[in-house]
Amino acid sequence: MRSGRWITQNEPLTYLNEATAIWIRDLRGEFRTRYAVNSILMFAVTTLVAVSFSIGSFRIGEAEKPFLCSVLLWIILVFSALSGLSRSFVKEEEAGTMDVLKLSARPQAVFLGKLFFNLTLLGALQLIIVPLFILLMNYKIASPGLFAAMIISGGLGLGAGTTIVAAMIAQASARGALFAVLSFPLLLPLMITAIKGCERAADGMNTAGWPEVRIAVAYTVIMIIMSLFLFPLIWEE
Amino acid sequence: MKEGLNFVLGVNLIIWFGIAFYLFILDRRIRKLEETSEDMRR
Amino acid sequence: MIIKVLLSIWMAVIISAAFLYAGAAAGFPGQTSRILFFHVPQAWIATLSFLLSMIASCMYLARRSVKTDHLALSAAELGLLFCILATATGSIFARATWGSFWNWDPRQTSIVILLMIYGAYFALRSAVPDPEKRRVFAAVYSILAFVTVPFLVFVVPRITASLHPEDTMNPAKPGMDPKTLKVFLGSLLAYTGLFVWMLRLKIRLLRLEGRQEPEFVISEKLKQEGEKG
Repeated sequence: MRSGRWITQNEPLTYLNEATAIWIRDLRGEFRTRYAVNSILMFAVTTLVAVSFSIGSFRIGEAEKPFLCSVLLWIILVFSALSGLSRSFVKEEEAGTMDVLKLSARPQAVFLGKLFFNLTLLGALQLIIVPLFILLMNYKIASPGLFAAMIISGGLGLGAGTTIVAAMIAQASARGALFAVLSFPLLLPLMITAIKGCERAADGMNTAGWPEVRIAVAYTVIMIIMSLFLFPLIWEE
Repeated sequence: MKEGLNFVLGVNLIIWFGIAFYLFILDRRIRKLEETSEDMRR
Repeated sequence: MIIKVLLSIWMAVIISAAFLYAGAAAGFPGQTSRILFFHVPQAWIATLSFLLSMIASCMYLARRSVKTDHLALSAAELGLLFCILATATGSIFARATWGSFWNWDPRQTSIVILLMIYGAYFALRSAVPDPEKRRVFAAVYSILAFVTVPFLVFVVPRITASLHPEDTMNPAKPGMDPKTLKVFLGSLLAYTGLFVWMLRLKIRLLRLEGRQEPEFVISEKLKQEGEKG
């Protein structure tokens, strides 16, 4: 347990402790200002309303519904995420607390803490938007279990793929669209999988094995491992 | 069809020789720069 | 130098052979199959260049030698160029064979994704002012992008198969006809040679630019003063 592990050197728990401390600190800050969650939610709700209003649930044929609704849902989720997830690092840069953060915790712990924070934001986003979407678009889902699993694993993948990118762009000069431009190619395989998975869950056919959920989980795991390797390189000075 | 093919072939060859010529010019210019910077360093 | 001349001649030979020597392949309308002599090597070079750039990025992160970053950057630039060429020739082929420039079939989708990765790479490079950081970030991104490729290989065929249940474009393996095979392999060789030539030019240029360092300017000034006095 001690020397064999490459991530945790001596005290496996301290990494998580540090990460959790960062996570809770960010959560508290977020609770006070509600900046990120507001902007993400506003984006999502606005897009959802626009979609629902212009397309509506009746304009889509029953045969197309499982697929098209899945696409629309994931477009809303991904783009809302892209609009707000960079906050976790950008706010450190803006507040001038980046250096303090670099000194106060190990890089992997910082990454994990920020990852947990982003996942929390995403979780909240999904909790609100997904039911709203289902209601507004009259989305009939044959296998709710698979659907929920796909949403969850997709959300995990979203966080896993974007957190390290957020760290990079926070230290770059031209922020704005850079986060979306960099994240999108990385997220593509996940997005495609999630869309297919939700479509499958909605029309209920061929649901054995949950292949898309497994792919999304594999994606999440691999992105987290790679990020843990690479994050220290972009974090240390 | 044959004339069409010859035409396309001709255009392609012209483009290619243009590219190759350009690359040769670049090569020569870079070599010149490398030589002058070597002199500077000495 | 002699190799470059030989390469130029070889490429001209291949181009001619593509139109005169090889026959038009059977399953394709008219003469359209000939574009594959150019399109496929371009696509291969585009992807191999990405791989090369990623490996150079790994080497850079390991040793922090600026030369490896020159390699990574040059490979990425050339990869982008060939990717654009491959996308363009691919959609010309699609138009001639299938009637529309863009179909989102697996091949087209993958090449566009590669294009986006390259685009993102350069967007990142241009957004980081500090040179050392720029190299590290670019290398990190390159590796991250590469890691997603296996997923894409798995996943893209599934989604596009469901989007287009009818048969999608299949640039046939030109292994049927021996003449075609010869020209194809020859073209592969020519394009690889061209790639290596351009790559070396770029790297030499980057190295020269690197020499425009403060010490270089100072030594130039000293030399000028030496000549005056």
